[in-house]
Amino acid sequence: MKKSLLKRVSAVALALTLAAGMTGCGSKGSAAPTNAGSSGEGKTEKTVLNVWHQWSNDTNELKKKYDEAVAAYLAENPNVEINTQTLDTEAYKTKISAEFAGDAKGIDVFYYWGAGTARKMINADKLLPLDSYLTDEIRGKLLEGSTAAFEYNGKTYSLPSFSWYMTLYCNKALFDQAGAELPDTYDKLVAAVEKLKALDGVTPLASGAKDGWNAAFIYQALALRTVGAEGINKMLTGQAPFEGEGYAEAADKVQELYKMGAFGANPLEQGNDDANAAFGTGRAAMRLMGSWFANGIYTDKAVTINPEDVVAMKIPMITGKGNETDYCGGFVESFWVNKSTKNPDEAAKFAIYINEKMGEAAYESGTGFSGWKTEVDEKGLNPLFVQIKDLLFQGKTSVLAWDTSLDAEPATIHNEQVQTLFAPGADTGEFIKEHEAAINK
Amino acid sequence: MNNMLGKKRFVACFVLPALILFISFSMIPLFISGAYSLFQYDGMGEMKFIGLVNYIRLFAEDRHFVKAVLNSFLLVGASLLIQLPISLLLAMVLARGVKGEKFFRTVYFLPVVISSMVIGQLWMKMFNSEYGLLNHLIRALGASDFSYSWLSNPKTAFLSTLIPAVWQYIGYHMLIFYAGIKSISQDYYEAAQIDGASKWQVNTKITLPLLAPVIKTCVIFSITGSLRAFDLIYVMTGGGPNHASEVPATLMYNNLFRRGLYGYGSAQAFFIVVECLLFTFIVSKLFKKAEENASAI
Repeated sequence: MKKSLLKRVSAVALALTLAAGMTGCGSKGSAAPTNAGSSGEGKTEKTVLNVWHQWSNDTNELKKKYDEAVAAYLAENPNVEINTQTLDTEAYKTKISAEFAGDAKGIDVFYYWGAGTARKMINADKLLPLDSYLTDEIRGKLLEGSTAAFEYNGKTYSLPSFSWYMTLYCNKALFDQAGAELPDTYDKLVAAVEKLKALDGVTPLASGAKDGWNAAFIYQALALRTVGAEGINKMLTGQAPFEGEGYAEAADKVQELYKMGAFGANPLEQGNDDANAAFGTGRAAMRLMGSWFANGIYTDKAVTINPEDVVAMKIPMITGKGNETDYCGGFVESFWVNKSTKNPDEAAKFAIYINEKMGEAAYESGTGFSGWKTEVDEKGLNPLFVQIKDLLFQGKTSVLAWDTSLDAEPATIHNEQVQTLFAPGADTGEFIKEHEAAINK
Repeated sequence: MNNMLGKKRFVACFVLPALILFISFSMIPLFISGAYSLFQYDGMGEMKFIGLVNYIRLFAEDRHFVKAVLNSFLLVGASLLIQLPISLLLAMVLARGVKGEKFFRTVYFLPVVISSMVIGQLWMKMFNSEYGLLNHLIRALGASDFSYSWLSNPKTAFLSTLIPAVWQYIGYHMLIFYAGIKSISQDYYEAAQIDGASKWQVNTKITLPLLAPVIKTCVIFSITGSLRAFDLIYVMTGGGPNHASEVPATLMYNNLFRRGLYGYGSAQAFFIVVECLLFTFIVSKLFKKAEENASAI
């Protein structure tokens, strides 16, 4: 009898320990976010802002600049505490969309892309409009036409930070070696590819096509010339359908370049980083990339080519088509405020501040062009970036990267479909049909 | 102890924690995705009830999904016809007491311990057109300018992911078989030896029939594992190029997190669950008789 009593008691004790252990875990987990809202015990309450962005690599110039800007902000606003979290681009996008499927309680301010990418969040009323925080002083500092990607239904949800410009980077040393001419037209590009192919171990144009957006850049550049910026913008904003010869012609040209071996034998094996490395080490003569790529040529330790050999070119013209003042790029990245934040005023204030600072920082470090008219020290600009700046000043009408303008579904289909052009047996008809089905809904 | 287990309160006490965890992290999410699959939902906006439209779309409109399901069946076939027989053979050889039994057991089990991400990276390197082991081998055999890209060519992409997927879990099943064989009483073998049975007879008349419950477990693991395969394929090809190596789970991931189609993606997720349950049920039925025979011995 005694024995069984002991057993019973021990059994109940065991069960209780288990249950206690579990509830212990549970309460710890759920208490974490509320703890984050207040800091210290018994000290004065600080406003904590949870900020998310995608510059996760410590060597990234923009990450350093962000950290500096935050430190400066904290010094001026001692009542605020800023808690920054970062993730790599693809993981970051997934994280943000998963968080915002709920209330995204752990996010106050976050980095995101405007135009088509944020539209889903606007429609679901997840973002805070900043209009009531925009004083005339702030509005006066903004560059004209830089806010288009952040305005929805007449409201402004974010402010620009920096813009980018799609550039054809050419390694002049390799061009000289092959006896090729720098390409300002498509025909010259084809001629250059023919000559560059003959160099041993050199890919004429590193595509990075394993990453869909890298592949898409090449198609978008050619479509910019065959269709024109105005036509593409109409298509991207739903004012015109995806139709016309231009789109098919651009696809044919990508295929033509692929078949010539412009992107190497198996372009789908190399992603963005591989292609950047190939260009940086002289294993590729050209790279079509955003203006942010320029900075790395000077600062990245893995780069072995002489930065002075690199020439920034416009997207080559196709004879008889398009406008030379059209370009790919623009303002699309910036910091946004979660509508369900507990501190909308502080969050909005910080978002406006950090957008301005990152705009300036991007310009100073030669990675992008500020959307703010503030004076910036231009001494530190690298020569390549100055070249790109001159190209940008010649530009009039810009097209954003298609995957940031379109909704998520057509954007994904677009990137996937462009990748098919970088493999044998691509079918332009199929490519066009898939685009029509995705975009002309 | 019997006394204690007889009391329902005690049973409940012990079962409850695990049951709560299971219900809240497996059953409830399952029903939620089942519910989502009946809606048109982008993950954050309004949910619009559309009944079974998502399921109709799966089979009537989405050729990628049909292709993905066929691919997953190929993987099931390869697992059953290649992976399990090799595992069984290795287990039988090892269980017989080869020299260095422990060493081989560890070596064969090694791929199971390594993360799928790492295995994916390793095999990607092997299949690389320039510096890959496979192409080096082919070049060494005479085709000096051979530079075929196995993973970025739609014709060979899925086949190339199939090989590591099958290879990776050979050790896992081998270990289960091995444990099963070791647990068969030596008495049977001694009796067979006295009766003068050949090795073949011992294997087919004693080991295999008594191993039926273990084989059933492995077959179920192998089938369900193949139907919901994701990590290795995601790392190696991401389902590409042009959806050639897609399996239902990679397509589901793509739909949910890239395209933002939560309703449609949930329908795919739910399909995978139902498919796995169905196959488990069928395999259990098929093995019923063999299991009865095993327990009758």
